[in-house]
Amino acid sequence: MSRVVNAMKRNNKKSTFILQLTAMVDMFTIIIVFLLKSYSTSAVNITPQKGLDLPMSSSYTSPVEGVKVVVSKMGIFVQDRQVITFENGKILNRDIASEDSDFISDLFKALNNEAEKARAIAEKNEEYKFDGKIIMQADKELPYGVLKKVMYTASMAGYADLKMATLSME
Amino acid sequence: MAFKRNKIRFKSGSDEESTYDLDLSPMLALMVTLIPIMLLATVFVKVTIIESALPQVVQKAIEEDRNNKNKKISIQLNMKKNKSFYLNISKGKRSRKSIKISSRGGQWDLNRLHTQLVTIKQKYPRTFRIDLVPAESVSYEDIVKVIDEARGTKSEDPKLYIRDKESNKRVETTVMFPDIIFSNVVGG
Repeated sequence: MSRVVNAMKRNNKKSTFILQLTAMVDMFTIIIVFLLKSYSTSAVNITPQKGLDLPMSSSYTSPVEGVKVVVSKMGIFVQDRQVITFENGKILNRDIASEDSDFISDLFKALNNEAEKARAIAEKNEEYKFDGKIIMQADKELPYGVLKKVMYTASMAGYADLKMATLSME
Repeated sequence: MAFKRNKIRFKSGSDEESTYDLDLSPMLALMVTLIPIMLLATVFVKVTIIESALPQVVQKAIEEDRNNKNKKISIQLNMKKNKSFYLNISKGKRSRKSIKISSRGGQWDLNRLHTQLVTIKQKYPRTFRIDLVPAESVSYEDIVKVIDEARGTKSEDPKLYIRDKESNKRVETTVMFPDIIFSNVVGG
């Protein structure tokens, strides 16, 4: 064994050595190609969060710009800001208007703010038009009863063009 | 001549190493910078929305159907709590046909629903709208599955045609009912 070490010492006179990076560069090249393939500039971004599992659909239409409403098991989020908190996946009675069982007051306020902002921009900028598009990302296990309330409130706030975000089966 | 000279040099041993190591460190540095940037903008799940881009003739027929205020035919699809479907077809205000599709093994019978919808579409090719009425307890996933079944034909389905009013030509289409309206959202 010591003979081998001595021979190696004799052969390798230099005290520095060159690191073999070829394999690592190969690996990085493969990773970059894979990442480039899945690079996205999509209008809708999903922020992974607890209680949001989108359903799968055979639809292949690319997402469009619109107000992002997330309905997860935790609550309702408008443009990533939580406006309603759920308890056991259900809307609390205090969040529902007493005179209308499908009307969620805080959600209406948040959406109405967004609509007013959009209308104010549309007044100043002729190229921009308020089209009332809403992109709903909802958890697949949520009952239609909850979604119906969200849709109803959204339509009251002027958002009648509903787009449902789903995961592609590809 | 030059070749000869090189040959001599190799033989004499003046140029012992004919191979050399490429300095890959700058390339590695570049990749280490690129990978985090790309990781930030990479999607591992692809999001789509439920809508459809269509050929002109079909698109025109859909627009006509959308703008038609006095619809003669309206199709209503009820999704019940017990996982059965009720398809109601109204022709004007008078006649009304109702088809019940019971659950199969405690699950929605999506295949039978699809077959029924294809039959209805063959009968009424210029109708593109379905009024969906799900019960409050129906899950969002089941609604999306039903929309998928209603939106288009599958490869094993019979071919669907739409006649262009101007040229009187038949155009093949895979589109069935792209307009899904939740008709019980307001006042349901």
